[in-house]
Amino acid sequence: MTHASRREFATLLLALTGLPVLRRLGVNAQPAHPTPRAGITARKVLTAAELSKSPQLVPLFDGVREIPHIVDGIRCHCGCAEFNGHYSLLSCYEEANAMAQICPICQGEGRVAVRLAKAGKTLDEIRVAIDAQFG
Amino acid sequence: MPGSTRWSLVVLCTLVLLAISGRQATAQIKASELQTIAQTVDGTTLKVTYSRPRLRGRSNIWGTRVVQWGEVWTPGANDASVLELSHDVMLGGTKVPKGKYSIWMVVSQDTSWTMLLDPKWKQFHTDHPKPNDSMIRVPVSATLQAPTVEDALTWTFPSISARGGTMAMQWERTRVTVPFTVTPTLTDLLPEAEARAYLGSYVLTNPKTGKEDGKLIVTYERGGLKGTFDPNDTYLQTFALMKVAPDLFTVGLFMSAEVYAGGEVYEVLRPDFMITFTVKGGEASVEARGASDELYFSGKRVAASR
Repeated sequence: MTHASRREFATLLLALTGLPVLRRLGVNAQPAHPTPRAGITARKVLTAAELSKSPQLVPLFDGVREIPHIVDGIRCHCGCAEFNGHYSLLSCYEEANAMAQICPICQGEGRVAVRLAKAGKTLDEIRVAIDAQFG
Repeated sequence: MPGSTRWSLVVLCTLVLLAISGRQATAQIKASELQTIAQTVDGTTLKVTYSRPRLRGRSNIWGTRVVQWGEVWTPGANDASVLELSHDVMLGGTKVPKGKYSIWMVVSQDTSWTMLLDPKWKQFHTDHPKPNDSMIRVPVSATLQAPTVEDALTWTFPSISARGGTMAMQWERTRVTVPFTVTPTLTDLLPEAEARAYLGSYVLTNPKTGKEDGKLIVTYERGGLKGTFDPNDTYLQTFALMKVAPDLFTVGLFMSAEVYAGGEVYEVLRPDFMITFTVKGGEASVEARGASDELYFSGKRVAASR
């Protein structure tokens, strides 16, 4: 088989079989909690000024801002973890489209994480509690 | 043919193929249209995808060339009907592992039929596979005289419980049913030795008023922890405390005090009602929180057992 025909064959194979297979793998995968990224900060977490339409959420976002190294190691169970660019529960609290502005699951998981972190629980213990309640 | 022209032709053919495959579902009238029905019970989903043959004026189709007695028949049309399970399921008392199967039935004149689940799920209805060891055999009940007529072959889930339900297939007056149970995600059972640490009467404090306003009585009955509020909560009544993590429980509801006497949990209030016990030495405390982590109550044990 020539180089060109191998390329043609691979293109056809990907179009007819590969994409559905890849899609199915993505749907069925059961990802674990993410590993907190080295040097992660809370600089993208929304501030009080950015939460002017939801002032009741300011204490929650402030609490998350204090523990980015913890929240970045938690998988969100609301389904947003499937979105492109989403890494961890911390992603739910970042930038203008932060899902925790509207999603009660992102909010609940964040509140549990903040409370348990303040109580001195480890990341693993917090993961267990969040999985037990929301998983 | 130059390489670049041939390359362009391949890309064009690929695009045409993709376009055609995307239009098939909507652009063609079929004698047996496609349907998908899915039922989720306790996180396990059973999905049946099948084409629905219609009677089209025919009657008494069973035992004729449409569906012959003794035939290994797929309850559908076109491609064999497919059952997809998201987790392991007990179907008619037979364990069926998570996966995707083509559905076949050995059609019989009596009421005991056999459902064959073939891991080779992509088959045409005329393939009529011979029963073999790779298939899972499930005994199912059939009636040839159902009270109503289904013009189009229909799969349904007519009954659902906390732990399972019934799958049914009907065409004309022939109806086949098979019970299923799912793998429970939680149990209300707990070893008595583990439960003992939590037993007793807890005086509760209302976080809004800071005042004591009732008790939580935790007992061990029927192999698990049970909770009751004093004064009695008419919605929760006597409820199951179902362990979800070390010292962390959620609430399982029973239909009524009468059903509780031998019944099963019909709803689990997770993530809306989570109860954490803290036991240190002989002292124990409790707190309950909601899905937003709001504190419902906290309390301290005043009597270790009732």
